[in-house]
Amino acid sequence: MSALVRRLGYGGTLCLAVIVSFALLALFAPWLSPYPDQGMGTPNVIAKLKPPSADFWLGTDHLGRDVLSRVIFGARVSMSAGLLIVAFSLLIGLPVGLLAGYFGGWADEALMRVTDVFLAFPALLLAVLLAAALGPGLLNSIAAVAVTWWPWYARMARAEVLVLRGQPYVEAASVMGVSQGRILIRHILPGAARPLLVQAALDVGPALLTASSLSFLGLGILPPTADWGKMVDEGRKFFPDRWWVSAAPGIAIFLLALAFSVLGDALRDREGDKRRDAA
Amino acid sequence: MRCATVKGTSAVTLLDLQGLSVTIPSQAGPVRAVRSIDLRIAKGEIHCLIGESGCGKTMTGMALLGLTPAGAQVAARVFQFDGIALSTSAAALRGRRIALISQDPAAALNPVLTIGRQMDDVLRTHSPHSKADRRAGAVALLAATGLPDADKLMTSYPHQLSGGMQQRVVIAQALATGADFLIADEPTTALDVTVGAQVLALLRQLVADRGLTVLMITHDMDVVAAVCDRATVLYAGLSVETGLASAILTRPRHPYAKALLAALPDAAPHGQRLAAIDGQIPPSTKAISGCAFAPRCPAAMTLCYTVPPPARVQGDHLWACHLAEGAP
Amino acid sequence: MTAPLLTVHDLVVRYKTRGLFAAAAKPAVDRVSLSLPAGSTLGLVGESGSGKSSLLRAVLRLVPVESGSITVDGQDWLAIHGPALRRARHSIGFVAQNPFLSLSPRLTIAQILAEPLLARGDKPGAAMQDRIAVLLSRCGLPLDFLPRRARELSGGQAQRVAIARALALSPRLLVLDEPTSALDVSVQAQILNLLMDLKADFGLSLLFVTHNLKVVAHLADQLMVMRHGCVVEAGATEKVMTAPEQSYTRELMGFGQRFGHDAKP
Repeated sequence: MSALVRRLGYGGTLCLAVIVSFALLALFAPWLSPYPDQGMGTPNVIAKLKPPSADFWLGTDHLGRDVLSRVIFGARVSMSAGLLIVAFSLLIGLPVGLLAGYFGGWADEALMRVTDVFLAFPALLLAVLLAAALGPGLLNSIAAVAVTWWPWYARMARAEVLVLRGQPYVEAASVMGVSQGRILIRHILPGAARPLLVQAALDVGPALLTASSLSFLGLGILPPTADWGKMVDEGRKFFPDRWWVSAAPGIAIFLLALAFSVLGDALRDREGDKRRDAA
Repeated sequence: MRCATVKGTSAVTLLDLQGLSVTIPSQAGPVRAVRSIDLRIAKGEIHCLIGESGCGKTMTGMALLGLTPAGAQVAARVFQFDGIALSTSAAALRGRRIALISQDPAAALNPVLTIGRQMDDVLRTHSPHSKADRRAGAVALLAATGLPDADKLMTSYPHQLSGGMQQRVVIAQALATGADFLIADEPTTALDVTVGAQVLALLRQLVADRGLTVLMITHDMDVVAAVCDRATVLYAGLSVETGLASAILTRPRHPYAKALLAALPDAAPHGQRLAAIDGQIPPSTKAISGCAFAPRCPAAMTLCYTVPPPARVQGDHLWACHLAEGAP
Repeated sequence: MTAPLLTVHDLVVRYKTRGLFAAAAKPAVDRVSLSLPAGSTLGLVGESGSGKSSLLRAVLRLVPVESGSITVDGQDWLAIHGPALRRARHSIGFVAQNPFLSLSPRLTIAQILAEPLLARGDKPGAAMQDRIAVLLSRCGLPLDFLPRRARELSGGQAQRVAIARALALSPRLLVLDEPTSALDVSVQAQILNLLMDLKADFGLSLLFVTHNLKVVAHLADQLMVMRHGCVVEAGATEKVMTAPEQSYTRELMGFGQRFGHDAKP
């Protein structure tokens, strides 16, 4: 425990706790939420738009469903969206950046021009266009965002590789006759992946927000699945009188995105300290 | 070969340092960067502080400038510069009476400002004359360090100059502060041999012309032989021998000084093994009882491990050792 | 008469200039030739900009060569490429100036020493472990260093690891780039002694590049002084040190010869 605090600081550890809590909620949603079937979408019209009470801790929405249960089930969608977006972007961007940076030449030029095209568009706009083109659905919206995000990771990876390529220990390896593939995997990849993973942690928050924005706009999750962005959108009509319908999912988005951001910051500070000590 | 002779040095002591210690707190315990160093430098002298990594020579220089790391505890029995107590006034003297010339001239100069601007910044702080006067002063100082085309140099940027020229600019800046005591921390290590020789010659000339005093921190015996009048050898944060540079180089008394000189490549005939020193310096986190060099000394006796060595004197040559002079 | 292990003939290395209209850059290495007999040590001395590093990097095939030839053990070194070059590289060991930069900060000493063996295609196992242990002890290091990382070692110890790594594939030629310049005098003495011992035990040829003439004069059979890309003086060490032809060579001997000491080079 103290090792964790040393690594992340008190803020970072708190954020990790928040994230883990949300993850547990998402994993065990059917058992942790008070009204699981309502969380999954079954309407309960009798209890329409009730304020927070002992029965419904966060009130009910316009179809009478328990907002708390909806938020807990929504965690599944939002967390997986945030993490999958970042994971796919990394999976595409890291190899592209590695290859472009290590081999240089025309491969580098070609790949970088492709990333230039993607980076020329405002990310959210491009994501909206792609999501609209692909049609509704969670996987489609994740794919749409990942496609707009991978160029950033490719660029970052390439920059790291360019630095690493010139390091004396990498040079020593090639002088020894180590094959290029082995150099890439043993020396370059670990060095390049580190800062990228830190950046990825920082990016889960914005990824989550982007995914929520897409579903807020109506692209993404199909009802009745609980999704925080969609819930905020649905609750707009009742704001500010029945504030809980929008506020609850909104605060959830805020908390989780903030937790990832602060955690990423803590990781980055630690990374920065390590780099400084090693210098 | 020539060794600088002690000429023109007055008997006036400019720097009097006795029992300096610098301890830096750390997670692993207190780090004794400097355990106990005595240093006495006369006006007009070029004094070399000789030692290998970890001996505390750079930290001593920093203590004189008041630039030890935050949290470091600096203490001394006597800690005086020209009669002024350094424990309180180091910051005030820095840049006024005491200037620093460090190892990497490129790092000491601001890459985005012209030489003229950087010289002017110094002159403005120390001699508030008119702009024209300051400019003339700057050009004169640059010329005094042997830089050709000093006038043209005023509009150049540091990266346009070679390493040797950059170091001369740093020296000119030091002169511009009006300082009479220069601390030169390995000023030639980053320079080529031939260029370094010129910089050392310049320092010697400036000392003679302007009555400066120099503390030269170095690990290179060639530097000591070329410019130093007197020298002090450091080991593990302690001063172990001090005397005339020529005396230390030809007849060192302390076993460490002897071993150090014997380990030089030209101390052994071609192709033969060099006299390396076994072992390593004691860790700076550990306190030392007895003599710091005892574990590595070929002539160590049981006494050396328990009792700190007494100071031995022969004229103006001092060293700390239990062995009588003449012992192997 | 043993055939030379390494010969360089009229080598020219020129770095490209940028820009369409820029004049061709001066060559970093300007028609340099040298010959290193087997079992011999050649000291290549020069200051910054002399071309000694470029010459070294050309021999290591790290920079392209404009013209000239390099022969290693009878083979046309510059004609080999690709996988054949990787295999051929096993016959040259390289030790760089700063061991903390040339040893991977992430790997353990054991992994660092295993790397060249794995590159040759050796299978990990008892035989490899034995070889690593032998290398380590030959270079004066205890076996309990194996799980440590480079940053836990002192400068001298780290350089010993670098030397051990360079010897892993039993090369005949060892190329060293300022191997002791970053080390203290006392540690330098230990490393130079180690190099002399290894050279004697394994019949190595050494190409020792440095700016410090006195260090290399102690070890080298031949000396070569470079300046501005050209060789200004070359010959047997004894001759160069006692009767140098060029005043530049004399300047390089340091601005303070040791005086009062009886030892002669």
